[in-house]
Amino acid sequence: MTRVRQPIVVVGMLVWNVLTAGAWGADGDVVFQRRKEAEHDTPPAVFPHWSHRIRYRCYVCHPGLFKMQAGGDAVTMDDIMAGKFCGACHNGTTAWAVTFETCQRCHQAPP
Amino acid sequence: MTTGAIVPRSTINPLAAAPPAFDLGVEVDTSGSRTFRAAFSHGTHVQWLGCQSCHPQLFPLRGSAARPPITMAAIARRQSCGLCHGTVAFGPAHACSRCHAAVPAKAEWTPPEAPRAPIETLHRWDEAQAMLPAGDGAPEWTKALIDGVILPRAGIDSSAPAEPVFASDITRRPGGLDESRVVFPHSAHTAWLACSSCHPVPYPMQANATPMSMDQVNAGQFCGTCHGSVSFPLSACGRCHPAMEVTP
Repeated sequence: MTRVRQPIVVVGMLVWNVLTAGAWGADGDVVFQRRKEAEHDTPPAVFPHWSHRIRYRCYVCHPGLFKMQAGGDAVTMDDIMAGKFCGACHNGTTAWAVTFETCQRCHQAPP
Repeated sequence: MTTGAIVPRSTINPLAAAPPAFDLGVEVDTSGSRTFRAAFSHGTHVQWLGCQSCHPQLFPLRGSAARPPITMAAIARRQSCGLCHGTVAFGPAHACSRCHAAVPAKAEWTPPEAPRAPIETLHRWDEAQAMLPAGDGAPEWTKALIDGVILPRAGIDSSAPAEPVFASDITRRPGGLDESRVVFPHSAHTAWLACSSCHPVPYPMQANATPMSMDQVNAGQFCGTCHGSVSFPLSACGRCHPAMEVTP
């Protein structure tokens, strides 16, 4: 099989001012975009910064897990499953794990 | 079939021997992702199908020049595995982990500790925002921390001790002008950030050693990495430049 890497890259902090409901809409939400569009319709992941900062101080993740600058890290699901990036906590112990039940908690098309 | 509820014949002739078992497992990794590679078991398939049912037309054998990639999009188009799966065999919807075995189907998780503050029970930003103190058109995160509205942990291990707060103010006078004087309080920052969050990138450890401009800050560099998105907005001039404080 031809191996095609499909990393996703944080492209910037987008402010979803138009949103009034849901987990997103706060300043600092990060929308991940794929470097290479895959042949499927899984929406890009959206990271709600607010729900993490109310639980953890910035230095818990920055710069050890994620660079300070949005867009500084290329993140793949393989990395996450290997315990890097989001996977440092989202492992079923500290926080809910990556499962086929939880895909949509992050990969949810912005309304 | 595994429970014996059905025992389908393998040939039209009831006396003919059943084809032999073939237990070769194959990993399909079209996406190049370890996480989403699919485990294909010949063993379960040859209970239903003969070799020629799938080879070489549907799945050309290894070494063939043209081996079309097996993708979820093709399966959804009723090609590849989708010729059966989704019609006469289990469909891809809600059965992901039956092939993509590296990812569990169910999310079983018990939070390791109770919420520290009521805000941690919320899932919606508009509800959380209503609990947070606000000013300058944005949440006052440092006030929320001081007031105990949020009780953020200092480590992934929630018992980790907080980094020490470093109470040293740095004052700069850009262009030598007292009107432009900017005061940086380490104390408010070290409540959130570790030294390594900001030093030595983008700020070398020596005070006033980093040339920077408001244009760069407005473009998201230096202070603008956080201020303007996750910290109070850059329009609140007087909070850093005391001489620019607007008295209402």
